[in-house]
Amino acid sequence: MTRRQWRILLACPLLGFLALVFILTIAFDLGRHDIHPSSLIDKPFPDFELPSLRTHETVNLGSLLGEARLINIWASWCIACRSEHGLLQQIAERGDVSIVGVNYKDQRSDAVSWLFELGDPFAMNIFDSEGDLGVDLGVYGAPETFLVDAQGFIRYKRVGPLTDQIWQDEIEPILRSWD
Amino acid sequence: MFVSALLVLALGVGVGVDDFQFDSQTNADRYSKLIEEFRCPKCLNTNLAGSDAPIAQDLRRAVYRLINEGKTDQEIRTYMRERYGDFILYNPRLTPKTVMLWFTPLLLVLVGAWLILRLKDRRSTVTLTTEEAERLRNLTS
Repeated sequence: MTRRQWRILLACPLLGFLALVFILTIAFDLGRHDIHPSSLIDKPFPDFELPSLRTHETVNLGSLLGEARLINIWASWCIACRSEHGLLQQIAERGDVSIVGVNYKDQRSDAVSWLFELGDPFAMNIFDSEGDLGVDLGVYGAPETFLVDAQGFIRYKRVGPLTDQIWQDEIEPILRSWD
Repeated sequence: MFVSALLVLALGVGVGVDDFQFDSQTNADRYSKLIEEFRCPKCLNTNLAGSDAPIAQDLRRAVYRLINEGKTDQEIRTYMRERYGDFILYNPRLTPKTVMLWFTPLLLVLVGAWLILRLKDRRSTVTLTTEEAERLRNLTS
């Protein structure tokens, strides 16, 4: 083998390594936005049977059907939920869509006083203290928001707090298309 | 000394062990295997077995419930994937998106083998220029 060939052979691991670094850097950046793909889009909202937060009455999937619902996963321990609360209040006041809360892994008394303190935009609140409905919805943290149509199909999902921008650009157009 | 080391090891392994009762050893083993297999959705690189995050506890409870409902391992994997996406699977499925992931190593091995064979071939047919032959004669004489 000539020296040239040796050099090429010896350079292979280094070149391979650099190629790998390059590919992984790009792939990581591409994948970053897609780390938790919204797997439940266009799937039916899971069936459940849970107490309501205030009245302790049992609610189930049937209680949600018949009109479009904005389902908001929240908790009193969730700091980011505070930042979207004002927007939820506005949506409720304007009557854009009925908002249903899923009070996620929370204490009942904490949740009720949180609503008392900050205002209550929810038409109804499902009390999911164990996070079972959360698991069925693929929730991995609060806040998360789902838009569900009158037939109970999930049409949109947002992980993280809602903002005016997201509302105007992503959710309102879907609602308008249903009118 | 040895005993205390064992104790530390045993405690360390105890992370994420919930007090679940199974009606058979098979199901207990399936449970341990499955929670090793799923990635904790909120953690960057930990499986369900190794995480104390509340979401990991919830998902372990879900695995336990699904086993007791008589679901097969494959049904449980599908259940998790439908809700949490491919992210939750440490063992990625073969899809158009993951073809490269699965076959690049094989490709690299083949390229390497081809390269070695080629270089080996060359070695037996090295021809020297007249100057090189001259130098070689000088060096070896």
